[in-house]
Amino acid sequence: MHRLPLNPCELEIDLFCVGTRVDASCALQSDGRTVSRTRAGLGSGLELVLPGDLKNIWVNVPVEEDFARSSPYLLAKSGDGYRLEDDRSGRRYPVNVPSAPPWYERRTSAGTPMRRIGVLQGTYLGIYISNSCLFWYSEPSMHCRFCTTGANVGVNEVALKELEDVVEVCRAAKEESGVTFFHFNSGYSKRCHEEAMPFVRAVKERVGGLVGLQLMPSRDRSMYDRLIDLGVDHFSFCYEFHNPDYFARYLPGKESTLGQRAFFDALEYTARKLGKGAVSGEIIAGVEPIEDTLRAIDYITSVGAFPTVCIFRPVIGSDMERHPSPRYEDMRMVFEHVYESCRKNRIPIGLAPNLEVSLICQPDDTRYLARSGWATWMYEAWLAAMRRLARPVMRKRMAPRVPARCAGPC
Amino acid sequence: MLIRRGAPEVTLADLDAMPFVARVVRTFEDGLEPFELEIGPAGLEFAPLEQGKPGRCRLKLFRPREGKERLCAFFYKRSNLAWSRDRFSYGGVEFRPEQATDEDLQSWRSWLLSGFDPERRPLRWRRAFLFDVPE
Repeated sequence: MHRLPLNPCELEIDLFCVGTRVDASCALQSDGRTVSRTRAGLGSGLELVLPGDLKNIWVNVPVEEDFARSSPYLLAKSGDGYRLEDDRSGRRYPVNVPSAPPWYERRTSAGTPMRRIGVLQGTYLGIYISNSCLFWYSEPSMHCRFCTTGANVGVNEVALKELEDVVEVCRAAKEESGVTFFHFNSGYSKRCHEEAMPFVRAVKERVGGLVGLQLMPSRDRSMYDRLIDLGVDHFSFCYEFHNPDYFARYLPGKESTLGQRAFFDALEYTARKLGKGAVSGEIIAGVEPIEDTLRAIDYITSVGAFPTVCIFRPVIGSDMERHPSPRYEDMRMVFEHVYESCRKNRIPIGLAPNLEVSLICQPDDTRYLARSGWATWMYEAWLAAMRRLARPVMRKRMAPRVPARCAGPC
Repeated sequence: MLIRRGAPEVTLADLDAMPFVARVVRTFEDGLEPFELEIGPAGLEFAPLEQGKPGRCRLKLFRPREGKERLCAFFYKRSNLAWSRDRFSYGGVEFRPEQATDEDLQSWRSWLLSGFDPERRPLRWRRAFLFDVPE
């Protein structure tokens, strides 16, 4: 097994694969964030920060899934600090447990608990605009087999978010938690793009910050034009599997209503409109053959987007709960490829300020896996220059926007 | 095999006075696999024992609506975290006691033992309910 100590990115990957047990010495109720089952269920883990030289890495570690009970890692507390103990090597890794933000305990003016509107997943705020995904309500159900959204509706989250509630929570997250990025997503609905517009507009004009959207692809390109006019900074398209057979098998709703091509078309269109590094293709690694995942990463970076690669988590209560968790060695190879592919295609990664995503191993995290050499050095120098150049642009985007004109329902 | 524990004010004689509940208890008593039965004010809860301790898979039998005859067999997993009261729902079956056959009861028992194998869900199983499930 691992003879050398793992660097923070390797530790992140391993934790996604095997989870951790939690020792009785931990006081996570008072020290940490709550374990939240909101969104598709991926955020069902414990938020930890792995300190590192290049950057600190945020990771949402599986703790509730059955496989986590036999994890070689044990999270323990001694004194004021936490550490992960690896039974296999005897190594101990110091970790930080981020505290829950004060606003988690507050309510909006309308009386809605703020934590039921949005959750911090790393350092960004994730908001499910509407979590009633139509795929769950067809007979037979066409929901994505890894997802638990339908089981969370009205249980762990408010099903339909009110605009004013969302604005208040975004404002609190920005002012008190330093959030710079607001990520809205939605299950499958025929009007999800129109439904997102008022939220985008309100947050851009009344709060300020970067706004990302994760919706089903639309064949109507003008939707994207309107959303970009309203100020959307980022789109992500979850097509999950590059291999069409896996896409069809595990995503019956997406296969029958949209098809894989619709995701590619939307990804390519928005990547052209917003420029390199602003759009992402989201895939799951650890279910389809690794070669397909590598092909997906090459494709996504070739169109100017960045790959958002989720390590498959057999989420408790999902149809794929019994599917094995991926192997560390395979996942390390995948993420080394993420870095190489971003480098070859000159994808600017890590430009947005204070944007750490705990649910995935970000492209920026994979800098720890870069092979040493001239090519890496050149890319890193280019990234540093891009970060400097991006600073004034980012500063401007953090401020509330001058109201935009919109002809549509916004 | 059943190991009983729970509210002292509820006696086994009370349970035996309810024919349907007695049938359920018998179903879990018959067989080699050990279960723990917890008797609480909100209903009965069965948990298969793993190495002498209750596992995380549970079946809770309760009356969802006061004054109504219908019962609910609710399946869930307890949290891995000692301090968490989270319950991970695996849905359940709502039924009238006289409707539930011995095969139904057996299927609940075997689904519980299987760790909620999606291939072995009970008949009339539903993923979600509109009522609250008591603690």
